[in-house]
Amino acid sequence: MMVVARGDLRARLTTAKGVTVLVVWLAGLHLLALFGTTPDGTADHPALAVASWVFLAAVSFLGVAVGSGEVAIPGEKGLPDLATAFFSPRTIAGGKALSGLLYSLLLSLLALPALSFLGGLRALPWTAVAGQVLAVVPVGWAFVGMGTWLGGAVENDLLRSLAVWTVVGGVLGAFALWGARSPLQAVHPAAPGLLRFLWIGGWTVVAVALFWLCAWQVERLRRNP
Amino acid sequence: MLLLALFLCAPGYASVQVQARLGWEGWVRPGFWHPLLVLLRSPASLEGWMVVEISPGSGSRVRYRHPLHLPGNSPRVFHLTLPLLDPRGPVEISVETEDRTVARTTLRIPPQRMAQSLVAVVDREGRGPGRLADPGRRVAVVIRERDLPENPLAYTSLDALAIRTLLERELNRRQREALRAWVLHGGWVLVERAFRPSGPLGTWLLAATTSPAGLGRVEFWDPAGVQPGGAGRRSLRRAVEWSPEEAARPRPPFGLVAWGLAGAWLVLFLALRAGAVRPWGWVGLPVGVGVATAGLLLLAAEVRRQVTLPERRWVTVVVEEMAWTYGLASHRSAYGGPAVVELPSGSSVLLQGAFPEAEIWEEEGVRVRFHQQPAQPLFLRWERVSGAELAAEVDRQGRWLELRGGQLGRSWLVWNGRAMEFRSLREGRTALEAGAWQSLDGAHPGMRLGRRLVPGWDGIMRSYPVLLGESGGSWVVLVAGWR
Repeated sequence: MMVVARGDLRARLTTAKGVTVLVVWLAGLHLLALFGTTPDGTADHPALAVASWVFLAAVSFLGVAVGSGEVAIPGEKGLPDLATAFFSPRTIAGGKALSGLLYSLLLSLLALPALSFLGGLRALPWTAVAGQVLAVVPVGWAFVGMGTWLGGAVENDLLRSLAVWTVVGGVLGAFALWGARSPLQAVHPAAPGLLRFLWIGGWTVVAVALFWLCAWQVERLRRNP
Repeated sequence: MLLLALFLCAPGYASVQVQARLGWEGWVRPGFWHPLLVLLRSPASLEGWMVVEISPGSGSRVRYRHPLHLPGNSPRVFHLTLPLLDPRGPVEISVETEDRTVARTTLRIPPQRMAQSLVAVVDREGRGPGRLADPGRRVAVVIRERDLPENPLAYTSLDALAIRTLLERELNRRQREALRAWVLHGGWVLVERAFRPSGPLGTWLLAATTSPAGLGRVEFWDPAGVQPGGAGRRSLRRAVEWSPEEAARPRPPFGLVAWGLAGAWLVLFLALRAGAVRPWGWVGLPVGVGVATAGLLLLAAEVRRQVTLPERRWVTVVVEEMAWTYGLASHRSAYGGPAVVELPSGSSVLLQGAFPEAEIWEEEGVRVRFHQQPAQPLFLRWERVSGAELAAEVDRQGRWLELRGGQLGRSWLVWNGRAMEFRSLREGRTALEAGAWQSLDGAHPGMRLGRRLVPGWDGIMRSYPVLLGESGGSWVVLVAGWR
């Protein structure tokens, strides 16, 4: 498991392309912080809420893109490559889950300064921003799992791209259409604790299920190479 | 009195007792300051807070917190002053210790107890208000000396105070000074012709029927005769009206923010780069994140300071060494959130604007804490009455002006529709040059602010020689006496 995770992380964190992705991610976050400096218009639609949702969407897109190979990082092995190796499906899925969790954690950690700035502008306590970051970690993890599974399940590049963006857009869009009581409120710094707890728990379950699906996909690939 | 008697005669209590009465014998006049009488008794000594909670507008709650030191088993009476803009909501009075609420009572004002015009009659002999009451137009209530407020602001809900009897030994020092301060600053007192003074306040009131009493009026009154017309004071609602063009919109310093964010990005980039080059370099990432977070939090505090526009203006009117300050502060923050405003000790405060809740802590000074909605202005109106050392007198022939008790910076003597400007005024006499008079500028900032804040401003400017002194964007108005 550690071998698979180490391989993924080495590719994502030390290669030129992997680091470039992170640097661009950082630049995007800081631009978001700059735009979030705009004074809040009304109490119902503050700029902070919009910034929170953009942050969530960005983590989701980056997670699924890196996991599926949509953003191909040299040296990173997808499920079809690993299915030919001697690792058990559980080891492969476990390794992918670990690297996905750490990558999501890293993306969220890098967002902490920019989000703290936005929260600090509004005199929010640091615990609120920490809660916001924590709420995004399992979402990113689940979308890395989704991307990893799609990378193994859909062979055609074009179809895979289509599937990746459809799934992310569909899931987040469905939440957005929920209206005023959308669970997306959980990623707002001022979210109620119970909502945030349910959100984190729910997405953790989804992530675990998706990585279990990855193990099943490896078995399928081995049965039908 | 009945309330106090009932309270004192009550059997032994196992817990803290709180009883309260708002307004004048339960009558209120929406839009004005009102007296609130609270009676407290605790079986044991108690340290805590008396909290009065009102709703000044839709969805807003304001809590007034007064420090409380109650000795065991002895009742205490508190005279408070409360602004009532919308008296339809309940007024909740509670006693809180550090960890819990130990007593609570709720006052509700029935609609039939709201009046457009109120007169109180001080009378110990139960003779009633005479013909002061005018059904449908004016309510006259009979009160006792003990009901008189300790804060002159509370009188402003009255059109007039009529006095049939006044037993001064029933009044404490603060009650006597409050009545005098109210009269000096525009209050209207009617004294029955048969009134006999029982102390210096009564003597002063009788003397004031024949000589000027500051800005106010003291007149003889015949309960059976024709009743005088109303005086009228401007409602608090008008004082806190806001015109959007006067409140500047705060604009964040985007340049400063861009530089700060670029710096944080660079720190994180270097931390990532260090991790990519050497495996142990990843240790630096949490440090980089910590440094960037700390730096951006400092930047956020600075930006927040720059986009919060607190504005405070006040006018202090001094009459016969009694100062009445009318203050108005606006607080507008681009991002909302918690804010604190400090006001001088003894200030009575009214809040209006978009805020869910606010607390006013009355300790050594007055501290107003509130949570503001983004970009929505919040207004604080405060008034304060205190002694003053500054005084001015003007020669009847217009030859000189005398300033006592201090000095003033840039000032204007306003008299008979004309103004004379002084760069500074020192204590003592200053000669008035006949050629230095100019016509009064209606757009003068002191005149504009005074007209906005001080009730009866134009009348004061018309009727008295007034020294208008600038004091850091606010103004001191000395109503000069004649010599």
